[in-house]
Amino acid sequence: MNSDNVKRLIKILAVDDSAFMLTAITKMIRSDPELDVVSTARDGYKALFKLSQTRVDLIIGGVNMPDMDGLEFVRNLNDMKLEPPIPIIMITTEGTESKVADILSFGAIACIAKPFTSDQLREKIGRVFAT
Amino acid sequence: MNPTILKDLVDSTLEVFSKMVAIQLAPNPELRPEEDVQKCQITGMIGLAGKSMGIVSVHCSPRMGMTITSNMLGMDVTTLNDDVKDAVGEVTNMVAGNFKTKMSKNGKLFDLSVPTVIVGEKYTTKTMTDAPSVVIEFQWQEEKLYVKLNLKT
Repeated sequence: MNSDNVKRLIKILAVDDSAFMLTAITKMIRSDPELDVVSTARDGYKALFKLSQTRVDLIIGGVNMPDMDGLEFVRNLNDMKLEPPIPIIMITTEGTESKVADILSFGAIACIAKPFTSDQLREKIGRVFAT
Repeated sequence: MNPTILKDLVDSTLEVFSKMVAIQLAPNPELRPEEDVQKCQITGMIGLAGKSMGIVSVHCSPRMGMTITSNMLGMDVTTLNDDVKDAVGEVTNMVAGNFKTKMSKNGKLFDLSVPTVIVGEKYTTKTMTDAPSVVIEFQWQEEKLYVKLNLKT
């Protein structure tokens, strides 16, 4: 990512119930030296706890998780009214228009459907910080 | 089975492997017999439930499973460990999710279950006997991977 708007390291919290996918997503993100995953969580509750300890610039999270799923997590995070707000990109297995619209209506700034390449994920992140 | 459904399943599989696993699979245009999947030692399965119902499953050898895992994690995986089971489960999840997206262009047809992964040397699976079933073979180097669809519409 070489956007002029992105000069510093973007710190990311990655949230997914699968440890495997967290590792895979972290690998994709770290292929860009301007991006780093500084914290991970396996569900929405743990993500909220991590956010109380670590300030991040962006959250990338899955939709389907136990206990507190991705949509409920987004709603809870928005209710916290953090300043500045932390943008959230949701990763979904189902990329139907209705599913994407549903995710965005909960307050996610963007949504990316699996499967995606590292380049597509980085481009999605770049767009968030270019606006 | 409707050729459009088969095309959606083939395209879904090719996209997942190309984008997430960095493997270019080559589909065999001929459908394969059920017995072929029984040679495999790893199976990932996802249930479909709704207006349409059935099962999408992905079948591969331990070597193919380890290659999928290595590519997704960016590290050499040389044993059939939990990461391999997770990788095959995740690939099955993505194939089924992508297939659902393509199938749902004209309305939602089904929801997906969570994936189940089976590993072993001798097992058979049995699904709904009154629903059409197809097995599609994909080739990558010397390895074969099978995607099976059992679908009642």
